[in-house]
Formats: sequence, structure tokens, C-alpha cells
Amino acid sequence: MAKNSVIRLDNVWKTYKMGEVDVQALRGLSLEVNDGEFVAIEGPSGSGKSTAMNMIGALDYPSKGSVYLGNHDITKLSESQLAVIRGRKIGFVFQQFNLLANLSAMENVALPMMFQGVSPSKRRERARNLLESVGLGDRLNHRPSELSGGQQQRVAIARALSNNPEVILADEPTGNIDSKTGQAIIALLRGMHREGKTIIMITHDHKLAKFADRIELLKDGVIVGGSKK
Amino acid sequence: MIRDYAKFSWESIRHRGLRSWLTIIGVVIGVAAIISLVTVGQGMQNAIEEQFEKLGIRNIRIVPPNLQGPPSAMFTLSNDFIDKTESIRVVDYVDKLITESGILEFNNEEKFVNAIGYDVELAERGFADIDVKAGEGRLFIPGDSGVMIVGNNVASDFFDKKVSVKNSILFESKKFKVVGIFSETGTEIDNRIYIPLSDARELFNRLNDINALVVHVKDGIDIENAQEIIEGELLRSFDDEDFDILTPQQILETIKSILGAVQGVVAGIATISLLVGAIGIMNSMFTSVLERTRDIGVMKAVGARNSDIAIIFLAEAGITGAIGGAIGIIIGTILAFSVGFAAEAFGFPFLSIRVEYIIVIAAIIFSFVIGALSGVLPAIQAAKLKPVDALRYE
Repeated sequence: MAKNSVIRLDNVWKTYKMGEVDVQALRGLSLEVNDGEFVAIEGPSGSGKSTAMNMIGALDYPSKGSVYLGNHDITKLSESQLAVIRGRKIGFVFQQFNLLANLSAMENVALPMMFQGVSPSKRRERARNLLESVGLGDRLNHRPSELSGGQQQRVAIARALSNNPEVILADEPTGNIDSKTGQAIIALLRGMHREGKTIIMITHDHKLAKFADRIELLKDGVIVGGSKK
Repeated sequence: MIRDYAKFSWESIRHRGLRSWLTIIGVVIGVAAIISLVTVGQGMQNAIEEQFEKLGIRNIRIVPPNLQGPPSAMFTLSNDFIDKTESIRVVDYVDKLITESGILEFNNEEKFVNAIGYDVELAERGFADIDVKAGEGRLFIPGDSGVMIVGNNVASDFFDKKVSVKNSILFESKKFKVVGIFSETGTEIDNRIYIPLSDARELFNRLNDINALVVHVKDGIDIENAQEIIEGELLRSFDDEDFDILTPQQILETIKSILGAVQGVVAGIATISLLVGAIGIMNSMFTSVLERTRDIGVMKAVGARNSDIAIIFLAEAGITGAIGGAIGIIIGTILAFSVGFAAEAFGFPFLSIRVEYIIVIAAIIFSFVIGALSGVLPAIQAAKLKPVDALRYE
């Protein structure tokens, strides 16, 4: 059965200006991720991983080429339209967790729902359920500073799920936590994948990449190979 | 949605603690200054209007030229002038007054008071027209001499011992017998003494002239109209005489316009301090945008539109302004009432301080708007941040 593509990058180039010099972070990157896949994009530092993640996550526009999110060409959308689609379709898990320090765990998880106009009572209920599902039912009102790294990353994962997005985009999700806690995070991602979510994980760590169904190797801004389970 | 953002902004204000308070204080000072000055100014205006209402509007004052205060000792009106004025057809009668000041001595204490030499032949008539009654004793009767009626404050507050009817009292070293004490009027009359015109003539050596004339116009005649007639007649007979004719309405307008100008200048200065407060908000908001650059990136990544970010920062600036405004109103009101109480303690009980709801509401809305306006530039800056750049910000 042919699967629907959720994200497609078509010959994407991204050029940054660093002073007088143009730096080409992506040089014709093409990638298609289908519904329900678990894909790892693996590459050494400087390979364009972060830029690729910005493109896949619709956080930035390509210099050249097209990025499709479902059937939307993001280059044709305004920043605000993009924000709405991003909020609905993509859940981010960052290496530095990126939780809002002023907000409790529950409020952090509820944040993406707020921007989609979900009512406060529904937000609270769903945030509580999500935090319980990642094992933080007893930490609802804790602030990020009162949580360990692993706990913070679990809050971030709960937040990524809050608008029930099609894709979870994880950028070095275990990069800032110890390996044992990292295992638990990976287990959560695999669990989400089993439940049908599309997972895209960006990492430099081959051991981590091996948990995915498919690995795409990124080097100098292009896919240079890959493997599939 | 708006409520969510407001709560969100409130959290951020709370989080910044002391710095938020310092920003708020900037607004508090501005708003408190405006509220207290405007309220006190308004109180003065109300007080003056009340005074004029009490003094009656059926009379016209003849005063020296270009002098808006009480008639001075320098100013004189001759007997001919008075006779002519009395004979004008619209005039019912005139109060011939000598207004002077001097030392009042009682119970071995001396006080400086304003005194009115009053035509006792008018008896109660002139007092009745301005609604002044004797609280104790009596008013003047024709033929009175060597007697005095004292204002309510003079009797009860000026001396350690209360002045009573039948007491003897010295004014400018001349002995008077107190025959009456005015009931409280809430006007300057409370702080004055009244003596017969004949005694005043002797005391101040004004045998053939007086220095103030209050013209009572006949009932049913328009006051402005009467003023024109009187002025015309007097100018025809006394073209070399210097005098101004003022109706209470005109005096009131003049005083109000002066007060209005003073109030305007003072409120202008207070507005400058509010402006400084607004710049404080702007400064604090720019810092806030900088500090939360990464948060802005995260919010954008999870679906915040540019307008969402802008609203969050505008709300934060607006709430900061409104809190400052609310506290400023409370402090400004307390200040205004303190001025009122102080004025009362110093013998000006008529400064009626009233806080108008419209001013309170206007001040809160104004400070919210000022706050939000100060937040516009920072909010635009925040909204324009690119999510990638904001997320990378350390």
C-alpha cells in the first residue's frame, strides 16, 4: 500500500551569508518521509543537520527548491500561515528541551494548544493526560528548574504531542541527558512510532540512529546514502 | 484567548519581580501627580464656584481696574459716585463697604483679621441677600455703634478662649462689644469681623469715601443687562474715575480661566513625568524581548503567529501601565485628600476635594494605552524575530 508523504524536500538549497562569505549549508537536499515512518537523519557536525531540521520543521524558508508539508508548499506561505500549520502538524523535541521557564510543566504542555485556540479546560485535561502518559503525573505543577534533564525532555515530548501532530521532529533528543535516561526517551519515541506517529530524528550518533527504520546519511548538505531495516 | 495572553503576560511581569516594580513606579509617579494636581485644581474650582453661589448672583461688584481680588485700601469711591450709583433705575440698593484689615485683640492674644465696615442702616437686608445669619446673638440694627459681629471661625478657633456674645474685644485698639456670631457659612466670612461703617470710617480715616460697593440689582432684571446700564450711566457722569464693574459670573469666569491655565501648566508638567514612565516601560520591554528571545523562538516553533507574539508583549506593556495607573490613582487620591485636610487644618475648609469617577476611569485607560503604546516597538521587534534565529539565541 502506497503511503502518503508527510514531508518532502525537493532539491533544497540554503545559503547563509557569514560576513562577506556565502556558506552553503544545504546543497540540493532531497528527502521524502512517509506517514508512519521512523527516519533518522545522521550526520557529523557541520553536515547541515540543523539547517535540514529547520527546513523539515518549516522553521525557515529554503534559498532554492521546495519544501512540502503534506500538500502545502511552505515557500508559498506567509510566516503566520506557516506558524499555524507548524503548530498543528509538527511536534518539536529539542536538544536543549526549550521549555518556558516561567510556566509549569502542565502550562508548557498546554502552550501549543493555546495558539490553536483550544479552550482552557480542554487544554488542562489533555496536558494532564499527556504528562501522565510520559510518567510525570506527579510533576504537573513543577517548573522546568525543578525537574531533572530527563524529566524536562519528557515534558518536551508531551508538549510535542499536544496538538496531536502528524510528525514528531526530534533534534538530538538525548544530547543533553545521560545515556540511561536517553534510553527512556528513545523508548518513548519508539512507543509513539508504534502508535502510528511519524518520527524524524536528527542525530550525529549512529547508535541512536539505529533505532530508526530508515537512516539517511547527511554530509556537506546532501544525502550521501542510507540504509533501511 | 485574550485572557490567556493576559495571564501569560502577567506571569512574565511577576517573574521579573523587582524590575517590574521599578518600571511600574515610573508610571505610578506620573499618574499620581496628574490625579492629585487635577483633583486639587478641580477642588479649588468647585470651592470657588460654591463660594460664588453662596454670595449670590443678584449683585454686581464695583472694583478697582485690573484687580481681580478683593478691593484694596488704595481704592476709593466718593460719596457722589455712590449717590449716582444708587439713583440708577435698575439698582435696588447698594452695600457701602470699607474693607480693611487690622489687629484683633482678645484674651491677651492678638490676631490679624480682615474687617468689613458695614452700613448698619441696611440692617439684616444685605446679610439676607447673601444668606448669612446670626448663629448666636443678632445682626446689625440701625443706629448700631461700637459693636461687632464675628465670623464663626474667629469666634471658635482664633483665640484660646472662645469669643462669646457680650464679650468685649479690641480692634485696632478700639473697644467693641460682640453682639453676634455668624453661623458657619463655609466662605471667607467665617474668618472676618464686621463692624458698623461709621466706626470703620473713624478707625481707618475714611470720612468721605469707601473702597467697595456691592450693587444689588432689582428683582426681575437681567444681571448682564443691568451691568451695561450701570456702566453706561457711571461712565457718562464719572469719565475720569477708574473703576471696573464685575458681575459674579464674570469674576468667576476670570478666576476659572486663570485656574484653568495654572491647572493646564501643572498637568502638563505631570504629563512629562508620565512620559518618562512610558519610556521606562519601553526600555523594560526591550530588555524583556531580548531576555526572552529564545522563548519567542520556542513559541513560534510550537505555532505562535507573529500577531500572537505581538499581543503577548503589548499586553505585558499595557498591564504594566494599567497596574501603575491603578496604584497611581490610589496614591494620587490620597495625596489630594491630604492637601484637602491640610488646607482645612490651615483654615481653608472650603477646598472640596472630590474624586470624579470619570477621571479615575480615564486615568486607568490612559495608562493602559500609554503602556501598550510604549510596548508597540518592542512588540514589533519580538514579532519580527525569525524562529530559527530566536531558537539559536543564547
